[in-house]
Amino acid sequence: MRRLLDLITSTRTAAYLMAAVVFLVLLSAIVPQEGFDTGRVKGSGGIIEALQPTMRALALDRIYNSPIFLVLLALLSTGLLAGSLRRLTHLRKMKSPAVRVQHLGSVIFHIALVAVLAGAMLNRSYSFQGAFGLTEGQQAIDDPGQYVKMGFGSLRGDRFGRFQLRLNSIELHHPAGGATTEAADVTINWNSGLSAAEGLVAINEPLRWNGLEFHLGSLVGYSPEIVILDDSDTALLRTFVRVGGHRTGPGKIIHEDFIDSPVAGQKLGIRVEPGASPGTGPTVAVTVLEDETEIQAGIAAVGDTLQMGGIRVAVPRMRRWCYIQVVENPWIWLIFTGFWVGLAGQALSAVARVLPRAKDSKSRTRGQI
Amino acid sequence: MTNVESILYWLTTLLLAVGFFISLLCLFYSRPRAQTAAQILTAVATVSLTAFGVIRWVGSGHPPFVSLFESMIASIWFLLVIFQLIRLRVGHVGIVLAPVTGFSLVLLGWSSSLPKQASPLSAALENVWLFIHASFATAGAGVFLLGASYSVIFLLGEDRIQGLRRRFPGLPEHRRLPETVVTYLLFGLVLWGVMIVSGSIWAHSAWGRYWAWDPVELWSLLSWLIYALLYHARVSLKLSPRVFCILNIVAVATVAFALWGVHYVYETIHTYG
Repeated sequence: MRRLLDLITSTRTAAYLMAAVVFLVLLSAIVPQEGFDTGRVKGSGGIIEALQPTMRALALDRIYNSPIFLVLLALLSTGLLAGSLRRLTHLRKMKSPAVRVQHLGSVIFHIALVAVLAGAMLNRSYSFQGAFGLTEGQQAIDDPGQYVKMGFGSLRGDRFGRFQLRLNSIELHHPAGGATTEAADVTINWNSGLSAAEGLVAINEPLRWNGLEFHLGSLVGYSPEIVILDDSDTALLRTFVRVGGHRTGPGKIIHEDFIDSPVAGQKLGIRVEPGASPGTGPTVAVTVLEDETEIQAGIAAVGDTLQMGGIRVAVPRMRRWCYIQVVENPWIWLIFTGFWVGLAGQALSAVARVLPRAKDSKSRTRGQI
Repeated sequence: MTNVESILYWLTTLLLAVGFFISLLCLFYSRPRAQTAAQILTAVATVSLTAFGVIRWVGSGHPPFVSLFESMIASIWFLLVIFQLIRLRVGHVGIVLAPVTGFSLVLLGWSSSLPKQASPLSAALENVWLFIHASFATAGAGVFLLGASYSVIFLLGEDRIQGLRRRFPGLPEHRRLPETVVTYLLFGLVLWGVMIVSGSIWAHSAWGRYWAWDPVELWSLLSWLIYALLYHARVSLKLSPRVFCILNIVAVATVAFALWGVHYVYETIHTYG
């Protein structure tokens, strides 16, 4: 039993486990991970596709969710906790205060690290994250079918049907000491229809309600109403087009999208140009494409109608749209508390390392600058 | 970059280049006056880079570590300032002048190939956590580079260190130099840790997620884990000093990659500016 305890709490075991974790994380830096599509190495599409079946068979495309990764973290946590508690009992025997403080800092750091890992595991099991795409005036219900993107922990249980979220408008927001930005004015209603909360949601300024956080997505887009009329002024199509935004550089966004035209074989390209200043309204550049070739183009302000070949395209109204993220991280407090306490312990240990020590101290880790 | 910024940037480069060559020669030939001259040149370069940062800060309205170029310059500044501050208390730190100015020159050379214009902050970047996050990232890189500088000195060999100890009184013996590296490594771990945590808090307040395994996040964590592993390998498992110092220099490359290299290789949601 003592041997087993020695093995679990030894630094050597912890170092090997840590090396294994480093290896897996390094592997995940090379192999794109399922559900984490931003981690792709540029220009590696062809190679990755060719190797995908092998990587899938070896479960290398889902390392963070793989049992081996979780078992490694669990073993590491157990070893760190047991080792730290064991070291606590040795602290009293240390004669030099500086050495004692150094070891105390190290123990605090390792226990806090276990708290961070435990918090991350609990949060992963109980968290919820979903995104609604809403146009001004639109309301969404807290229902799996209404979220455009959703993920939640395995132990979360049934949490749906709590609220309705309405996007009233997108407004200019003037944060104290910051530049003017855009914010979503939202109302949250209970299912009974009674208003539960309302307010602005801006980048860095989420709305908090009932344990949930409502965050504004990074892009606020345009949604022009497009009406396509034939020669007899009959509306062939009337819809609000939610134009997507594409970042082309820092602060540069192109608002552009395509819709199918009622005329067979044709597509309409819709590009919204935001007004150059707050006083000027946005304009809509419409292009008619046939077999990917542009055959007509025109620019309309809101209220204008364009004659484009056999059809007329009107833009009677303009609305804005955005993504609202709904987030619930019930164990985030444990993660962040663990982080700060751990760093404080590490800082304590580092400072104690350079403090002058008693002459009788025989610590092997005596540091100097 | 304005004209004044440009002059200060190139003046810093010139001073560091001259300081580097003189301090490099001083490692091999005993020239106390030349060593003092190199230290003065580096001190002036630090002042020049500080002036560059202040002018850029005033001009752009935000601290100068938002773009990739600024992040690199901020790291050099932290490296030089930490070096100068430690030199006030610990005279023998002058021995790492050659690697310190060498690393600074490499980063200045890299930064000269990057877009240098200052850009306004996007809404997501207007957050106090950005400044905490970015300043600890660059300060952490500076401390890791100082530790790597001591590793370079250790690799000069016992005989040369023995000779240099006469010129740098108080310099630890060759066999004890890795302990000095460990101390810098430990402080670097704290600063790099604050960088990761503050970035995580910022991500949580801006987007509602504190960790997304984005390449920059992943490589930052990886470099932290690699340093932690290196620390334990040296302190607890008695990794040989030579291997430890070589690996410590390799590890600083992972920090450089996490900070400035990821964008060349990966598609990432981390954008500068």
